[in-house]
Amino acid sequence: MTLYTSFRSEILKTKKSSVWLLTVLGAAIAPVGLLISFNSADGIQKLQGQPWAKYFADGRMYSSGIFLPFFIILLCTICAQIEYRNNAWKQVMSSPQSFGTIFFSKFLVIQFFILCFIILHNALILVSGAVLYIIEPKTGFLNHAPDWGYLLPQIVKSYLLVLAMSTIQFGIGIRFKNFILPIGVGFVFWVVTMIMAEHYAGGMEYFPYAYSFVGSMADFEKFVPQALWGSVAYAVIFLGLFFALFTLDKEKG
Amino acid sequence: MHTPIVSMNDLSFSYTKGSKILQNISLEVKAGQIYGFLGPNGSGKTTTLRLLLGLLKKQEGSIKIFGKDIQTSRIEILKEIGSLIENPSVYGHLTANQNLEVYREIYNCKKGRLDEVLHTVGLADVGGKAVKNYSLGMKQRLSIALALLPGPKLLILDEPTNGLDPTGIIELRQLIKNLNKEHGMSIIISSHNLSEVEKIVSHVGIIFNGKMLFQGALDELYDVQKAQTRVLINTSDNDRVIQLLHDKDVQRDNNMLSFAFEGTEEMAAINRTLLNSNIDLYHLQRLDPNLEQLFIALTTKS
Repeated sequence: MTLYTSFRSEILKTKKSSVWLLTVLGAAIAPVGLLISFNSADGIQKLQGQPWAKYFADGRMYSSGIFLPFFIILLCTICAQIEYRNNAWKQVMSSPQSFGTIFFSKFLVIQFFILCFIILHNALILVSGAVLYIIEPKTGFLNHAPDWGYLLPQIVKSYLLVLAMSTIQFGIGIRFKNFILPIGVGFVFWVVTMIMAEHYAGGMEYFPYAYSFVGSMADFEKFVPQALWGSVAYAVIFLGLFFALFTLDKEKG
Repeated sequence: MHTPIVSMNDLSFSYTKGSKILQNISLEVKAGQIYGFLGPNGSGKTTTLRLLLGLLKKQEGSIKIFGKDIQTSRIEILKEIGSLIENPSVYGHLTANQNLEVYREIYNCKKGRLDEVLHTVGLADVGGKAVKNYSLGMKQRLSIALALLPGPKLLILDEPTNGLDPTGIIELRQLIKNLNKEHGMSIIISSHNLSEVEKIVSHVGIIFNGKMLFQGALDELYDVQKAQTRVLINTSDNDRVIQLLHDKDVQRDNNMLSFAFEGTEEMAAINRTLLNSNIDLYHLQRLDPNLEQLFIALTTKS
């Protein structure tokens, strides 16, 4: 059984679920918010010079700082609950797939939706800027091209910085039947991040839930390189740990 | 016909230390059999079937399916098994077609197979309807369709009649018979109700408190059952009846008398005796033991 077949099967399970709507709405909140907030004299003033750079930076601040982490918390919970709510784990576990294929295909689905969120968010930022230009040409959006050489690495960073957090949330989500637990853990750690940020506390570079926020704020730029390595390292460690727990479980389904 | 499809030997299992859910269970299902796995709720039926499917890790004993070990040849074995364990495992937000599509490629089935199995369970007309709008019986039938999807050699159905109405139960019995007869499918069907499965099974295993009390052909079980059958009578002169039937160990309970049933001819003879003695017969009833009583009898016997 190939991982691709199982991945397709997992994607099919999300059809007609709230995951797709959540992805679109979550990705659209910041672009719509920016469109509203910059459609003013003050806003237009702020966009002078390099409108796309400012627009994308603000979009990343709201998205990576707030909406993407919350999206991941909900996404990981919903995807796991699709099995729990339908009593479907036992059917999955008694199908001819290796436990590795089952585990990693589910993990890939989570990563697929996170990438969809990030790509859609950035695409909608472009649309939002274009719409703002049509409403108010003084914003100058269509007179400048976005600096893709700078923006594309930022988009990749946004993804890498949530890798650790998404892995932990994924692991908690599939391990515990109670959906409150992954949501609670995710929310509490996000609040901890906010407290750390408020006091510029040290240690943010070691705290995986803070990485996305670190990458979204210019004030924490210095932590980014360490956060990137930390995120990948935590992801590998937690993925291995949760996979071991998944495989070694005495009771499956 | 005589190749063992499933063989379990001395299987013991406990969820927590010190409390064994299964004790030295040995079970054998041969190719082409419909095996009724009977026992009251909480007796260990589902645990046994979960062990069979590798959903629980084996602790003691051995399990062989198609001659292979489930721990080492799990995927190979599961390709040939269709299963329904307890309540339906279907995705409510998807349609029946989509539920089957989720597993179609995993079982390497052709698209046309979806219509076939939906037709088999009588859901062909509602395949495009979201499963959350299905009744419990329809969900159960969809679960059976899912179990049939791979065209399995072995079908494991754990309490499949749960949620089915009487018509649904009759249809399911017919379906199981057809699958066995036309496709040569070996079937294990668990139930807490003997009368529910006795019309279709060829062999029976009875589990009680984690112990296998009986295993064999249905006829052998009937022999045990027959030995426990009693006759219940009420007459115009019960005291005289006790005297007349002094060799039969007649027991009295208020105004009813009971004694062991030993065949219909003997019953007729007793009736004649009572009539010839001018005793009026108010009540005559043959009491076949239900599964619970049979369990008690088997437990006492064992």
